[in-house]
Amino acid sequence: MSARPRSPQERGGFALLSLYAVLIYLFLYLPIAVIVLFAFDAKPIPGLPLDTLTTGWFVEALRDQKLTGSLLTSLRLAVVSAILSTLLAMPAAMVLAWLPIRFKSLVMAMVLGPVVLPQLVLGLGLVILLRSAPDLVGEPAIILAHTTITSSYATLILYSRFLGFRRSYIEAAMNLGASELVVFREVILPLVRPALISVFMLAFTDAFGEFVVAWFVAGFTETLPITIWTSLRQVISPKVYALSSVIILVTLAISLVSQLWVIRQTRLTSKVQTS
Amino acid sequence: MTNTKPPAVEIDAITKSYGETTAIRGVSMDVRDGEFVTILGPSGCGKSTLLRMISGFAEPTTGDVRIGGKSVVGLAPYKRDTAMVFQDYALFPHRTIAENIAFGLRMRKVERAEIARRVDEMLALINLSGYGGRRVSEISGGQAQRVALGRALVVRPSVLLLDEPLGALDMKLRKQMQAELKKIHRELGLTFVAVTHDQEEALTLSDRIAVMNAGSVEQFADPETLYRRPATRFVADFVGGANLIDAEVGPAGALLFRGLPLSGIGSDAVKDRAIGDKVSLVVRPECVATSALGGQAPGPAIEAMVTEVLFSGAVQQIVGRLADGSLFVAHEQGLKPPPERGSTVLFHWDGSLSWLVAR
Repeated sequence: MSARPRSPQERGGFALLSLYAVLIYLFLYLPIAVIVLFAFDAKPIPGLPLDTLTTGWFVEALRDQKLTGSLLTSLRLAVVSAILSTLLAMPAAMVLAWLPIRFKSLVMAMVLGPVVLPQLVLGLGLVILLRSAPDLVGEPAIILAHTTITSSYATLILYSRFLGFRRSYIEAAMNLGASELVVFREVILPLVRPALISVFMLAFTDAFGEFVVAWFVAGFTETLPITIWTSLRQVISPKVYALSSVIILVTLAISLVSQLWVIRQTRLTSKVQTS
Repeated sequence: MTNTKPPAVEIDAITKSYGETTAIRGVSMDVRDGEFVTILGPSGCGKSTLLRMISGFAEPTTGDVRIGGKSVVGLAPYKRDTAMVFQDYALFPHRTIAENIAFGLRMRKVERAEIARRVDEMLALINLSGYGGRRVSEISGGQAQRVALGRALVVRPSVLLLDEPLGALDMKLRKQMQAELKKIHRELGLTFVAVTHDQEEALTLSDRIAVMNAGSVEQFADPETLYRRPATRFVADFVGGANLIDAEVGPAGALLFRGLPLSGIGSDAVKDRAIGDKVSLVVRPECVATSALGGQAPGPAIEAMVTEVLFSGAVQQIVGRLADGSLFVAHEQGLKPPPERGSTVLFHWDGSLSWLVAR
């Protein structure tokens, strides 16, 4: 920070930058703020102006078996998808980053496929595929679909992490008597743990909120997004707002905590200072 | 056989090729037990590859590597009894200093109490007692260097490998660590094999130095021999810096420089050479003095035009240009009045302090 007084141009530039930042944040968070606001509206059909506030919808939401049931289903499926996708992505990323591979850019492009593919196409493809395996329709199919989508960018994120991984750590451990397996357990895993956790969280939130592909393959399974979308056709109950508010706050809290944790870990395991 | 102990490391006719390119061409070298050997060479000469072959991170294309008399070719790095100090130290950032040092002992399934004892002992040896609980990010570069050394030494390897061990340190710290490294080597009596491109470091630390160039060992000798009698033009130039006069052996024991015999060269200097041999005369700058033209030089002498006089107190560097354009340097004591820049003077030296190498 300079103590030097700002010139008028600088001050104008600063004001413009501030305005821009405010607009960006409004754009990002206004829809979320509206949801949280309406969760407290006492009217059965929420809308402005807000007359009386209530916390009753939160209680109602938790009492709604259909709503809480689909929430639990979503949580369960997202956890499984995120675990699977992290487990799939890690070895793939290690191979891509560390081993000499022919046509590497082609392989990378194909890994990215499910991310750039319109979800509609993926959904349709899965529907056709599932005709030959009708037993999978429902939860297994949703898990499969979400694992496919999330594992592709999970691989890319972990790939960049492994690319920056100092190979001399591995060589040092081997040199001191650690076999490949021990090196993985004692050196690689602890050092990439922050990356693994953030990839898991990302995959989890993505799988948790994904609607389009799930809708195609869900059968009679109701995930939370499916339940909410179904209820859209009637009047949206404020219960949905209440539940959404809880999810938003919990998600924000988790991502904040995990980001802080990752930053702390990264700082602790950052490079050795040289003199 | 009077000595039954095999060499600590034997490198036996090793070559290493990557496809078409050959990185190492037929290197053989023995490292005696307890010896401090340095492989010295410019970057890309294959010295690091050689070290990686001893540690098991690279395999020779042909040839054999033996540690303590046993071939280790094909043996995984973690099954070899070597320990390495890495150029970037490679200290595990998620572990404390003590845990880093204990790592090799844990891998060797040493008892916990014994590990604690030996880690403490090692921390004392590397002057870091009380630092065991620190994180890697909380220590300085010089301290990290010592931890890397301690982590390798604590497993009592049959060979300690050092890859540019002092390269990342600043000048002052490097001098200090050189002394410390030498002391530790003497106290522990272990075999050290180091790799460096710093000739001064190699000369200071080593019992013997292998000078490598373009995949081959040019000379493997003790520091004194290497400095006083380099075997090749490359070694003369790379180790210590030398004046080189590219000449040709003429008839009747003469040494021809641009077709004319060099003055003051005795016929015994060229006695093992045939007429027409292309050679270089080597003489160190500190052996050379300058005098005015026309004077009578006691030994060999050559004319050169003074292009630069660099005064630095006790020593002044007189840089001259020979008739063929190459530079010739004399280190003279600073009290002597220097020749004028642009003048042509006689650079002369004691004939017993120069010698010929093939070119």
